[in-house]
Amino acid sequence: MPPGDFRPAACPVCGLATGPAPACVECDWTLRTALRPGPVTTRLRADFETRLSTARRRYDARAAALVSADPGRLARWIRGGAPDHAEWAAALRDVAAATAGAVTEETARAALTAAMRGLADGAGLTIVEVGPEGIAVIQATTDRLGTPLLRTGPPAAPWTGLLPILSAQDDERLFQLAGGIAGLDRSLLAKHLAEVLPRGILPAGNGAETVVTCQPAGWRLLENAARQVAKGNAGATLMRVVGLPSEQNGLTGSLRARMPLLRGYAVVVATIAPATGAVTLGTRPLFRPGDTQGAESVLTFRRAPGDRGAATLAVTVADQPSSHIEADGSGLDVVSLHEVPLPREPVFRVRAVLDAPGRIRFTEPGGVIPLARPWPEVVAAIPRRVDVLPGPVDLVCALELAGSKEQVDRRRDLIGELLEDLADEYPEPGRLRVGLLGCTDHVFAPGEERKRVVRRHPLGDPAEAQFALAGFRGDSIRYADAAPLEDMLSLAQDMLADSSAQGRSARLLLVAGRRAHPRILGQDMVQPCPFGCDWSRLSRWLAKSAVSVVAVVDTMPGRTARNRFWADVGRAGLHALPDTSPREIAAHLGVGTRMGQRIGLPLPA
Amino acid sequence: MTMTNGRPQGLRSLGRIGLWGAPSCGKTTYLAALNVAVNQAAAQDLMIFGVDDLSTDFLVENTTRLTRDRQFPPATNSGNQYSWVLRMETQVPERRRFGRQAMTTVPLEMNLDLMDEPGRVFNDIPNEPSTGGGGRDLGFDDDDDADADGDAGSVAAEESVMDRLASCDGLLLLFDPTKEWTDGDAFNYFQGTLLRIAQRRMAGQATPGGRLPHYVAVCATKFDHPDVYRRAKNGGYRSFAMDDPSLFPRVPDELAEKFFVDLVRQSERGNADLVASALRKYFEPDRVRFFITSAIGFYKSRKSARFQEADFMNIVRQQGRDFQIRGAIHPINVVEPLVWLGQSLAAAR
Repeated sequence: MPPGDFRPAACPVCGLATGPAPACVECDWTLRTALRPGPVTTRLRADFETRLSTARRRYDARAAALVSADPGRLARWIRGGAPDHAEWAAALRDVAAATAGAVTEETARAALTAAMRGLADGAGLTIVEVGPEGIAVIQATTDRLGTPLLRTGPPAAPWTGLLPILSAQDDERLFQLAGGIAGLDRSLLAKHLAEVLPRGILPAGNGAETVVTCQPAGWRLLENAARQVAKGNAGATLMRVVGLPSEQNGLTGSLRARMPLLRGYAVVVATIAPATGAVTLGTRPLFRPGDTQGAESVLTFRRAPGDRGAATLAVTVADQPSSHIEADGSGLDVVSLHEVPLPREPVFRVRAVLDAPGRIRFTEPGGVIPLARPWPEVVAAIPRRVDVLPGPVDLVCALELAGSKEQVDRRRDLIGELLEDLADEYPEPGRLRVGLLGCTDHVFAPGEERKRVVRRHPLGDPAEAQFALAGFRGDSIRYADAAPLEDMLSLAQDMLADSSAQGRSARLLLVAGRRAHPRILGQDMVQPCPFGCDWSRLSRWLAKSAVSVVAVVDTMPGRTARNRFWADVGRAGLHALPDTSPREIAAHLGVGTRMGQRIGLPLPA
Repeated sequence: MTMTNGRPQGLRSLGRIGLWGAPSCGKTTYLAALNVAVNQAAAQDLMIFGVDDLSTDFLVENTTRLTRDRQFPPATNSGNQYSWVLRMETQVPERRRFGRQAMTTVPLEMNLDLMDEPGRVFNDIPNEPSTGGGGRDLGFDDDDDADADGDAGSVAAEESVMDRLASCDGLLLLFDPTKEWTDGDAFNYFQGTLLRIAQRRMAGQATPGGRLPHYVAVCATKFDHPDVYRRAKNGGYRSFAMDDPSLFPRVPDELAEKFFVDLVRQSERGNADLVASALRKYFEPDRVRFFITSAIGFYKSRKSARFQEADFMNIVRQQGRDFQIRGAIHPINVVEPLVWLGQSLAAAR
C-alpha cells in the first residue's frame, strides 16, 4: 500500500482483498474517498460505524437468507446483530436476485432425464454435483429397461476436506458456503478453489457428457466451485438448481427414485385367438414415459378360464411393438414379476404405484407379492394353445331326479357347482345360456304312463338356472331298470335345435344313475318309453348337430352297458359321478379349460 | 234229452275237467284270468260261477287282485278243491224224425275242477322238492310252491289229487315254456302224473291197446313273455285275428302244436320234446289239442287303438324287484281250451 493510502487490506464488509478501485468489487463498499478537511468527529465516526455495520449485516444476512428463510437460525454469525424486518426483506430480495436463472429441482431432473434419454447405447453422463455437503461426481447411465444406474466415483469429497478453512460446525459452514465468508481469508479461499478443485475431483478423460449442478443456486462458494468445475471441463453444462436438495447432496440423491420414466411400463397379458385357441402374449400399458414417483395406474383384467389360485403380473417396458413379442416371451424386457392372488370373480382390477423407475408396487388386490420364479420359467408354463369356444354357448343340464336324496343331491351339486363356475367364467350377458331338465320316473300304471315326468327350465341366464336348480326336487324310484333320459334327450333336442342357426354352440350335460328307456321292448325287457322317444336316434341327432354331450353316471356301468347307452350318448365324455369334478366336466363340455390347463397370466378385459 | 222252454235241456255234469301243470306254470293265474276271459268272450251266453262259496270267493278275490290290484295271485300254499260251472251254448247233433240228424244249439254246462295243489304234487318223484320257476325272476309266475316243507306233498294228498285227475273227463295241461328253458323239468312233472293217471285208468282194462279216454287241452302259457312272443313272431307262427279290434297277436290253433314243439326244443336242459309224443301215445290223438295262451295278455295303452309291437309287455318291474301288472289284462286263449273241451265232451255224449 503506498504511503498515504489509508485503504484497508481487505474489504471490511466482505473480506475481499482490496484493489485500486475506490469500492469493493464484490460488495461495493467504499474503500476510499477524497480527503475532507477537518477533524474526524465523533459524529462522523459514529456515522461510519453505523454504515459499516449495516453493510456487514446486509452482506451476512444475504448468506443467512440463502441457507434458511428463518432469520433467527444463523443470526449469531451475522455481524451487527440480527437484521430488522426491512433488512431481512432486503436479504430475501437479494436471494431472489442471486438465484435468478436457476431452475427447480423437478425441472433439473427433467433436464437430466432428457440428457439420459438422448444418450447413445452404452454412453454415460457425468454429473458433477456441487452441493451443500461437498462435491460428488456421478457416472449416470440407464439399463436396457430405462432404469437409471448411478455410480458415484470417485467418492464424494466433503467441503471440510476440500476447503479446510471452512468451519467444522455445520450451520456456520453452510453460512460460509452461502456467502458468509467475510471472516475467512479470502485469498486462501480463492487459492483453494482455484487449485484444489480441478485436482482429483473429475475423472480424467472419461469423455462422457458432463453436467455440473450447483444446488442450492446462489450460494457463493458453491457457485464459484461449480463455475470452476464447468470451466475446467469443456462442453460441460452448468445447471443451477434452486433450494436445498430434497435428498442428500443434490439431484442425484433423488434422481434414482424421482426420475421420470424413460420408457413406459406395461403388464404382460395372454390373448387367446377366438378361432384357434392359440395363446399369444401382449401387453397393456401401465405407466407412460415421463411418469414419476407416486404415479398410479389402474388396469382391469380377466382371469383366464381355468386359472385358479394365482397369476403372474409381469411388468415389462411398454415401447415394444407386439410383433416383437415372441411366443416364448423372449422379446419382452421384464422389469419385475409379481404374483397376484386371483379373485373368484372373472374380471378383476389391479392398481399399481410407481415407487421408482424399476420399482412397481401393486396395492390392489391385496396380497400381491414378488414372484420368485424367473420369467423364462413363467413363460414355459404357458400353453401354446387352449380350448376355446367358437362363440356363445347354449348348455342344457339334464339330471335324473329319482333316487335317494343323497344321490339326487350329489347330481344336483355337481351341476350347481358347474353353473357357479360358469357364471364366473361367462359374465357377459347372453354369452352363456343355461337350460335345465330334470326327470322323475315313468310310472307304468294305468293313467300314469303318459304323464310328463320331465321338469324344464328354459335356456337363459346361468344365475337364474342356478336358482331354478334348487327347486328341482327329487323323487323315489318308481321303475328300477331305466329312467326317462330319452325324454330329456328329446327335450334337449328341442331346446338346442336353434342354437346353431343363432351362431351358438350347443352343449348337453346328462347326469343320471340309470340308462334310458328303449324305444322298443328288447331282450332285456326294459319297458320302452311310453312316448316312443328313441335315445339312439336322438343321440345321433345330437352328434350330427355338433351338440357335445357329456354324461355323468352315478356308478360306471360295465363295458356292455357302456357300449349300449352311456358311451353312445356321452360322446364328449363319460364320467363316474364320484370321480369327476365340475372343472373336468366343463373341460369336456368345451366350456372350460382342459384339466391341468393353466395360462397363468391375466387376459385383457 | 228233456226240453226246457222249447230248447234242449242243459247238459249238466257233462264232465269234469282237471287242471294239471308243473309248479309256477300259471295255474292259479289262469283261473284268475278265466273270469275276465269269460266276460270278454264274444259269446254272450258264456258265463262262469262257483259251485260253492270257496270257489266263488277264490274267483272274486283273484279276479280283483288281477284287475284292480294289478297283482299276481299268491302262491298256492295248501291243497284246496275248487269247482266252477262253465256255462255256454254249443251245437250238438239232434236226431230228427225219419232218422235224420241236424245240429241244434243247446246250453252246455260243465264242471271245472281245480285241485289247487302246489305244483310239486305233480312231480315224477313224490315229495322231491321242486325247483324254482325260471320265469319267476321275470315276474311271469304266480303259484309258487312256497310250502315245499309242508304237508301238501304228502302221499295222501298226492293219491287224492291223482285219483281226481284220473277220474276227470278232460284235462287242462298247462306248460310254461320259459320255465322249461331255465329249469328243464317239465317232462319230469308230466311223466309222473301221466303214468299215475294211466295206472288208475288203464290197469285192468278189458281191451288191451286202448288209450286214455281224456280230452286234453295242452296250453303253452305266457305267450305275452317277450321271448315266447318273439319266437312266435320269428318262427312265423304269429297271426292277428281280423275280428279282434285290438289286433292282439295269436298263434292259430292249427299251428299251436308245431309251435309248442318248437318251443320245447329251445330248451337245452330238459326233455320236454317228449311231452308231445307221450301225449300222442297215451291219449287219442284227436283228443289232444294245443293252445298258446296268456293269462294277462299283451299290454295295450288306452290311447292306442291296437297292439303295439314296440311296447307290449304287460308286466312291469317295480322297485324292490316285484312285478306288477302294467295295464288292463287281455287273456288270450284262456277260455278257448275249456270251450273246446266242453264241446268235445258234449259231442262225445
